[in-house]
Amino acid sequence: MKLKRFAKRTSIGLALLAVTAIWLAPMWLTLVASLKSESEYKHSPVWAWPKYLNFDTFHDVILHADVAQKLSNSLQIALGAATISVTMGFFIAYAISIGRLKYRGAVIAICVITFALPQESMAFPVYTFTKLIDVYGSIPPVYISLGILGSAFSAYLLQATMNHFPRELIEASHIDGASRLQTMFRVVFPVMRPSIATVFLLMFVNAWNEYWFPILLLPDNKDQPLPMAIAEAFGQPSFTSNGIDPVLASAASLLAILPSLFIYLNFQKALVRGVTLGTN
Amino acid sequence: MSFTQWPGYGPIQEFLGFRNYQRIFADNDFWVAFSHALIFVIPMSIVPTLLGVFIASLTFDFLSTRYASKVATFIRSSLYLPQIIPVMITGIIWRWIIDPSSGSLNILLKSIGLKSLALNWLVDPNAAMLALSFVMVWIQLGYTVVVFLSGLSRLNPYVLEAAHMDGANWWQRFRFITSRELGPEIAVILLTTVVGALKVFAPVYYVTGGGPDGATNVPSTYSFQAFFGGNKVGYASAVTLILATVIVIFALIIIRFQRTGLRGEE
Repeated sequence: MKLKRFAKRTSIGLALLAVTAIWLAPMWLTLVASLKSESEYKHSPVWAWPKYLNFDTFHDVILHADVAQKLSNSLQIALGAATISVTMGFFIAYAISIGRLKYRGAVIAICVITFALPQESMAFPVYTFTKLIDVYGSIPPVYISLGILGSAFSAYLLQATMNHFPRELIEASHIDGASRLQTMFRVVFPVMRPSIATVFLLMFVNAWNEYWFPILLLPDNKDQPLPMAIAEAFGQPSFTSNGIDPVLASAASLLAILPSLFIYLNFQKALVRGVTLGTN
Repeated sequence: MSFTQWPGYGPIQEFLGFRNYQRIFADNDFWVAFSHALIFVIPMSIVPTLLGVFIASLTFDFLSTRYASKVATFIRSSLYLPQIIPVMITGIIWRWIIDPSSGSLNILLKSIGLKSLALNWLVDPNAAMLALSFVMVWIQLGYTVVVFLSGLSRLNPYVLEAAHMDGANWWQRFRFITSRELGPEIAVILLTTVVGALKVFAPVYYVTGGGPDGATNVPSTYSFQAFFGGNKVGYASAVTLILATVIVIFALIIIRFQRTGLRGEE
């Protein structure tokens, strides 16, 4: 009986690992291709680890794409957007949950609709507007728009956790003579800090991966965030018969996902908590 | 903007009233793109949800011992990996892998003797749809697995144990207990993933570019092409607004549905 259960458990485990292997396969293929030379890619099995490690392609990509500049663009956009959305989101969530806003249902519905809408329906008007006021092509409009739009999602997530905030604490602070602002910053904010950090991280990653606003608002390659600049420079195939260069494309994409990978490996738990925050 | 004819620069050329909308409804390419978005609900939403419930509960039920939980963590993090990669880079990765002549997939298929399966992924319309659908499942599965796993952890273990004692096998427990208890998670996932399918852009744009010849176009890529390629800003805006309206209506229906569902439980 015990042996049978062990066998069952092992076989299901192996089946799940097989699915996982399929899921990781593209990453593996990309990794080995990026480390091969052109000729080794053509003549060795595609899944095999390279005989001679070749880092030249990475070198080319870094030189050609000015990765440092793109990285700083990405950071600027992601940090700016996350800061704006979490700050605004906190105020909105506070009004909804603790301030017991009269039309809270309507406000929550507006938040949900805002993050359900297709990005381009908001990016097109912003595009026209930035041209109108002559700020088209600079980075701040990108993170300001992303931050304001993201505030809907962060407000939604924060109010979900703030609804469980112990009311006794707020009443106690009122009795102790704290003003409303003091209650907000001295009582609610410190207790909410872990959730706020989680939402900040989530907003950061979302803004980092965003494409509609950068595509529309940043025509110049030197202002673009890293993933987009790399995608435009090395991946954009001419969609005709002549294909893509496998070695170059894989090295470039690997470089572009390194920062995301770094964040993921370091903050995995917090990220997953953020993703599941809105569902329960 | 959607009421005008405007190339995106200079003064607005002409006010058209609802004529852009009339044109769209008569535009065959738009309807083709829209039908693709509906087809993509399958790989973006339905398949990942089913597969996600299944994988999450298998992982939860069979890999919960101390030693196996490390395996479970590995599986979860690996499946979630596609979610954190910027989608345009996901597009590039798949774009080079499925490249018909130099990509790894076809080389691999040929080397293991499955030459007939080595399709021309970017030129054959059906193959392109198939490849794109697989990419979408690849992206979405991690999201559903993570959400379902967190849902399962709040499940009362005694209920499952009692069912086990009463002789219910895994499938029966899955069907009658687990999948029902996960109701709220399933609702949220369906809402977010169906909306995601309707407005899908980057996987299509960066893998196939909507091609070959519009065979994988969706409303978002179609309006993008009109906006930039055709300089038809008014027309593109109208396409986007139609899409937005469809999504808002869908979201409102789900929200209403969810609320009445919750009230029914109370």
